[in-house]
Amino acid sequence: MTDLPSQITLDQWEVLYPSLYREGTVRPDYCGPLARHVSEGDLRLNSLLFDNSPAAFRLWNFLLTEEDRLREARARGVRIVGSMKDLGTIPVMAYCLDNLVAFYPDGAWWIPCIMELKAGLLEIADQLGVDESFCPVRAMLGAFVTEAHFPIPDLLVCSAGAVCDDFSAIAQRLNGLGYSILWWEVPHRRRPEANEDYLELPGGCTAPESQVALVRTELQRVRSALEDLAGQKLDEEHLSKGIQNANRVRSKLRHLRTLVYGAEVCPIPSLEMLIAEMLAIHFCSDQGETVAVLEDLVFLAQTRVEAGLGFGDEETARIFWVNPVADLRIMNVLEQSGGRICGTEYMFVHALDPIPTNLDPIDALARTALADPMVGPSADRAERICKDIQHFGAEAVVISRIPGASHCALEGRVIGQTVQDRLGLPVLEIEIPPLTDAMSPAIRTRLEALVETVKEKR
Amino acid sequence: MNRILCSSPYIPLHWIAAHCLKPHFAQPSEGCAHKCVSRVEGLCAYARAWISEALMDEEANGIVLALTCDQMRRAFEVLCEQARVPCFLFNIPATWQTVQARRLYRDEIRRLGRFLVVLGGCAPSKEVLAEQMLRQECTIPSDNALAQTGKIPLAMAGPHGMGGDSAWLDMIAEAGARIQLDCSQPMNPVFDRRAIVQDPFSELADACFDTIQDIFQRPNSGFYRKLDRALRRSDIKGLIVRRYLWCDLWHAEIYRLKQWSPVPVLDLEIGDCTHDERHRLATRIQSFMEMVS
Repeated sequence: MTDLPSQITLDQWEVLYPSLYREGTVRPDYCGPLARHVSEGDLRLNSLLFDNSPAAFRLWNFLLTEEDRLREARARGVRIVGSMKDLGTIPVMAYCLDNLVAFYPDGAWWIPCIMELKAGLLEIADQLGVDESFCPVRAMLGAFVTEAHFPIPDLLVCSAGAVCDDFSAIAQRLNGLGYSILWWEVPHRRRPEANEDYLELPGGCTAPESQVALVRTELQRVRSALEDLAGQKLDEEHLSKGIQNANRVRSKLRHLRTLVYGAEVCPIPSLEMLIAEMLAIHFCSDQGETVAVLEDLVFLAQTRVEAGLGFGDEETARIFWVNPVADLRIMNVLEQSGGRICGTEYMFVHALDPIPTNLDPIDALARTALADPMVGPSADRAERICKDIQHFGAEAVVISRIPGASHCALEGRVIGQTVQDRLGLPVLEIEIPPLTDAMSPAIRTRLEALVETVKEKR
Repeated sequence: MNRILCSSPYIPLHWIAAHCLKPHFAQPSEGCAHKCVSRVEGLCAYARAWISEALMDEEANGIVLALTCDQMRRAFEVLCEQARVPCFLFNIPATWQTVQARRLYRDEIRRLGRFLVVLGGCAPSKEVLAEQMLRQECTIPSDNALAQTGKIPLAMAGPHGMGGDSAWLDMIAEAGARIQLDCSQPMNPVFDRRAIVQDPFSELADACFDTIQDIFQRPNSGFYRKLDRALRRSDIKGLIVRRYLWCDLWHAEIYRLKQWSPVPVLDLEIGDCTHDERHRLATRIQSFMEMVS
């Protein structure tokens, strides 16, 4: 096997896998030929290009075996928490207790892409009256109905208030189908008024003290529900330990992002980085293994950066990406268009920032929840994006619209305008549906045009 | 008297009036979209109309917008950027079964009070507030029932309406029906006179909070209970759910409403009010009338 970085197809992985196995590089028992997931229906893997490193191979295996892990956990008597919408806070609490595991049913939004619409989840959502005018997260409804993609959680917890309408409406429909949900309020984060007490939040923004107090009380309700489910006390000691564990993951990810997005030559492709960043929100149902997977990636990035190896060259256009893509293949298309990722804001940047450890744990988690970029004004989100663009030295911004998502109608304008006014960078707003095959040439042309604009501006 | 434009009846209008300001619950008219939102894809028709109405209102001295959905929350950002008068976002809690939700609503009323004082309002004494509440001037009128002359009694549900709703209400009348029960209009708060005298602010906050039984709440069982009570009291033949294009909260509930409702349900999606749309609405209404009559 070659050490030179390259992007390979699934078939090429099949050829490489035996040697990888013989070398003993692939240790975790969940690792195996990626093609086995295709036979289980994950057809999109056939269309993706993968990094050829053992670290990436481990990452993909870890991601694609999450359902097995959840089912094994249930078989062992571990209780399952389905956390919805908050993207990063409730799982930190759940993983404090050794007989709980948490995941985001929201993640079902990628199933139509991964299974190339063959799972029928969108059709089920259609039949339930949640049609394509909604965000692809409507696939979650189908996943609950079929019970085929994750075990039905023992407890469902969903944030309400300052959340997107699609998700709120779909979660309510789930409730209407008979799934009990613990709703907790997260208010729209506003700027403190004159003479109003306020607190610093992770990531640099602030919130009125009264809002932090409200979320603190709400998280206490969630805490009680988790205690009831686990049959254990979730005390301060457990919470502090859980926050430390979550911060270990966040710290590894920050290190990885700094290495990859700051490197002159990109050491890890954007698709693998997207998957790696996603691990922060619920640790792919295994917190310890998440750390190990990220350590492998950090080592890989360090090795490649030191050797000056990677994808593209120093001239490759440095792109900052806003919002996750419904079709993973688009991340490959970006590289094929002459771009690379230098900074991201996939709607869960608050799950990457360290949780304060010098505060009461629930207070720290309340501040983390309020730091969610989707909870505050788009202007705050745009500020953070500008800050990160400058940090990573990006030269252009892609805002990928999520089809039907309520926040996408107006936020792109605010973010785009702020980036242009403040930094003078070109901005491209494109809509990415779950399967882009039919429009791939058009998207690629737009991305190529953006890359050309970047190069002309130099 | 300074005029305060309000997007929702869930903003306590008595509170604004008690500050010696004139609350105006604006029901926008469709059609004339402000240039800043005229071409925004995916923007809810109601949010678009409300932004346009607020920006084109030359008499308003302040704008108070209620956070009842994500689209209106983001509409507030547009207003802050474009409006010539100060804007305020009233955070109406989505949850309602906890003490915290009630407290948040109460705190928001206090915060609104501070905003109103900055706009030139006078912070009301207990007596002034009590007097304002007893006068019952700030009620939300519901005139849909009066405007209809047809024979077949129908109920209507949906978000708070727009001024242009008269067009399709006329279509209903032409098809031989009348809106006997308008559940899209909020209930006016019912105050306890004794409580008003003791602590008018608490009574205002509690009574107004208790009137909110809407689809945006989590869970939204309160809305279904309200609708169930209303439908049981009358001889309604059908339910029209009037909703606006890109409003996810109502759209997602249509299927459940159809399953739940004891009477047939018509899903009436209102969009851009073009000639074609009017034709579509008329056809749907006529077809529905054939079914229920």
